[in-house]
Amino acid sequence: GMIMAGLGLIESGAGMEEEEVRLGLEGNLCRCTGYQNIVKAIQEAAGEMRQAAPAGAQGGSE
Amino acid sequence: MTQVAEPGAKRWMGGGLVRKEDPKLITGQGRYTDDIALPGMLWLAFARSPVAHANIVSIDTSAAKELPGVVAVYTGEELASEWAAAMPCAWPVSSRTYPGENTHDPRVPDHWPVAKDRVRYMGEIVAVVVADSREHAFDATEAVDVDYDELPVVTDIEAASADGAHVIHEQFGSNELYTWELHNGDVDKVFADAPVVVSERYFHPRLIANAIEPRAIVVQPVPAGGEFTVWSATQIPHFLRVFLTLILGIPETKIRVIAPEVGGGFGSKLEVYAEEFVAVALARKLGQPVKWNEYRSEGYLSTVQGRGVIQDMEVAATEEGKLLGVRVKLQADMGAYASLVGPGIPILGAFHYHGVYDCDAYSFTCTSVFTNQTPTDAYRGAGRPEATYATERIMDALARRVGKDPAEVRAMNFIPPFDQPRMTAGTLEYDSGNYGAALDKAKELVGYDALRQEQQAGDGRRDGKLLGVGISSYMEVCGWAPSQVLGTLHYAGGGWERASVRCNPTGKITVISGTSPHGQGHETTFAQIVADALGVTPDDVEVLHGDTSVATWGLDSYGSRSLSVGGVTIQKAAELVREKARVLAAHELEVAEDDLEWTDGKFQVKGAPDRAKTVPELAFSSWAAHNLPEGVDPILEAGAAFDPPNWTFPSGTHICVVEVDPETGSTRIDRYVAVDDCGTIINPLIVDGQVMGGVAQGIAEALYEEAIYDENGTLLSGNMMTYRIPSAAELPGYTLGKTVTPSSTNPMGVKGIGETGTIASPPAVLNAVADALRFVGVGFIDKPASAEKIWRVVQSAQGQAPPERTPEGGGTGAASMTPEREGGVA
Repeated sequence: GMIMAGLGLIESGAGMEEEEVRLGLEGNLCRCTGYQNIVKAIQEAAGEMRQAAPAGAQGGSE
Repeated sequence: MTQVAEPGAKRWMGGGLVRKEDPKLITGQGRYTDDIALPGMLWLAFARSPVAHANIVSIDTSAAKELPGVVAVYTGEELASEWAAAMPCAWPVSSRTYPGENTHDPRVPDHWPVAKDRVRYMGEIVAVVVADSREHAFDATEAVDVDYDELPVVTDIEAASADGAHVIHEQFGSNELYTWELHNGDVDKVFADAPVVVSERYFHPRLIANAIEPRAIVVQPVPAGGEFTVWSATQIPHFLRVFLTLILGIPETKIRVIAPEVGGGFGSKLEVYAEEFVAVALARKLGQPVKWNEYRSEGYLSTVQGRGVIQDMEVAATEEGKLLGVRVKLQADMGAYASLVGPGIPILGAFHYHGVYDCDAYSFTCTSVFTNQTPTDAYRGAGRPEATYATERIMDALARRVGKDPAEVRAMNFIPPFDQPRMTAGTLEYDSGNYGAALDKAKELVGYDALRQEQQAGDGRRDGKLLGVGISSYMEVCGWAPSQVLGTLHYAGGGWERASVRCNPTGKITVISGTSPHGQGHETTFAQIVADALGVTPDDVEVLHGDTSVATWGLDSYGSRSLSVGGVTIQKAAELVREKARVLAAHELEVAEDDLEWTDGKFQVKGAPDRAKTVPELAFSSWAAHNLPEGVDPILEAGAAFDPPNWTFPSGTHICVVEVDPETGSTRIDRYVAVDDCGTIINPLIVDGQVMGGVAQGIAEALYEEAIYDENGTLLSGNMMTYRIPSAAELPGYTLGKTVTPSSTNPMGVKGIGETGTIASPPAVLNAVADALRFVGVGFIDKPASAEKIWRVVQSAQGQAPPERTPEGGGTGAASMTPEREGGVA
């Protein structure tokens, strides 16, 4: 769920500031991680993926 | 490739190795109980009482039996012959006073898996349906027709023990399970003579664990052999096996229990449940595999809940704020029955309501009562968050009373640094501690002095919001547990661990652990420990657990014990393997054992390092057994046991900074700093993960969560709409720091970290909120500090009576659980 939501956020071109990512993950619950590293992972992935395929192109998935 | 350490590095412990468990989990290849499907499998569903307290006058299952796909429907009376005994209470605490002579006279009412003639909480099972699909089974439960004769309902903790209260279990004459007392020092005199006494009352509402994986069980019987394989989403496969034997009368040797991937527990899967007993009984009765998977709202009623405690906390002190004594009285809600270890949960906190502080006089009293609600039991921290909350909130209250900064009052009262066992006022011997170091580090990380200056200069305001800073300097007691101590507490089992380390002939290492991880990353941490002991890499090490036919002996995972008891045992076994390997190496290299040294992960001849043997090489030759020394058996493996001589005592300081909007009551956590000391750190990534997850649950407890029952015993917060656990949008980021004070309890110096985040954080958050609200004249606020609650106290303090509530479909709490998104995001 987190991975799919994160992928969706990245491909939609959403902003990757911490607050924006957190709001984007509002629909996915986790009871274990406290979310911080999930947010960081999405931000990091966005950096890599958007560099590889800049805005407007189809986002490449793993 | 899982390693992140340098390829040539020989030291894995202490490194942040990415978890071995994760590749399969994050690609959906993990197999959970619900993923298991067996040929011929039937589904179970449970008809549950919609009322909290009633006699069952009659049950008519005929209509249910006629529905599509239904194979059978059973009532409690019809299943009565399945049980050799009622469901167990493994910690039957009874009334006692320490010091003093006591008799053990526990009050454990019969608790049958399916109610026979009376139900005592909403959600108690009254019938079970067996059908060909989950949906068919569930539909049929709604057709089970039960005639209830309702009885008076007891839900309020204080009302339960009041004179004239309706008694839920008549044989005891009252709703009290026990009154348990511990006194040390001349408490009455200390309080009578003290210049300062501060008293506050705290209430800990019930909490619902909400592990993301719902409970589930699959049972495969082999009728001709009387054998059963049980897969259950449990934290305690070993205990489940023992109790299946006792309650169902099946020989232990015929039962195999497997905990597959388990998606979180937090104590809610540290239980043996009615559904598990029924599933095995019906697999036996029908001779076919059966399965059950919980619905979330079903779980809210049927899975043990946490907390449920009222505390009257008092401290005696000097005018300077020096602590003289602690006196606390608890009233604890057990729910309708004595759960597996529920009666003992308040007792886990009994010994340390003085926390990290010194004092001369200590008194703890707890009265536990039955109520017509879901039974309570362990929930992350289990007794210790309650204790820490009372201690840390009252320290802030004491600071306000004597007019000093809360950090200063704490520092002046800390037990000074120590690294060997030290007796404390609550009669525990803490293992080690350096409380000042964590407070100093936390203050530095949060910018404490600047914050206090900003507060003073702005009269508590920052951009129109109220600014608050809250500290929690905590300790806790974990590393469950020294077996002898458990015996004195009347806990039914022990606290040891066992492990085996086996060197396979082709060089890979198998570790058998008696712990049962459910998300904590043990496979990685334990692999790091063994890799260092045997000169291999963590990728060479496979850790097996959670299957009673593989890891035969163990006491599973709870109470932050897996590393400090389980991991220590594994290291012990690995070192025994290395010693066996040394004998072989000396023999093969034709030198005396003293001529060998263990360097760079191998045995080298001193002065001739090219003559060396590795453990994997020796594993092969040990297996081939062509050239073993006299008296040495083939196969390079060893087992070990460890019964810890003491508990372990993690500690630390958390500091929370909040901005509270006085207009809306909403709280935004601006910064959250956690400085923790879990002794020696094996894997910092995993430690940080536990802290962040634990703090998230504690913040949720502080601001958002409470299970609400109405006076009829109806659970109003019955699903994720009304009791929602926070998303990423409702939680802040965290700044993490560490101090390291090794434990004196075990050779590795490790303490445990699994529960500390949840123990430390609620008072840090509430102290921050209370600190903010004092600037508008609010004297007290308790948790959850919801927006509605804050708004109301602010209105009252400003002299305006808040408008009357008009509950729509709920009681007083429903609206308070709506997390405020506005301002709730860091």
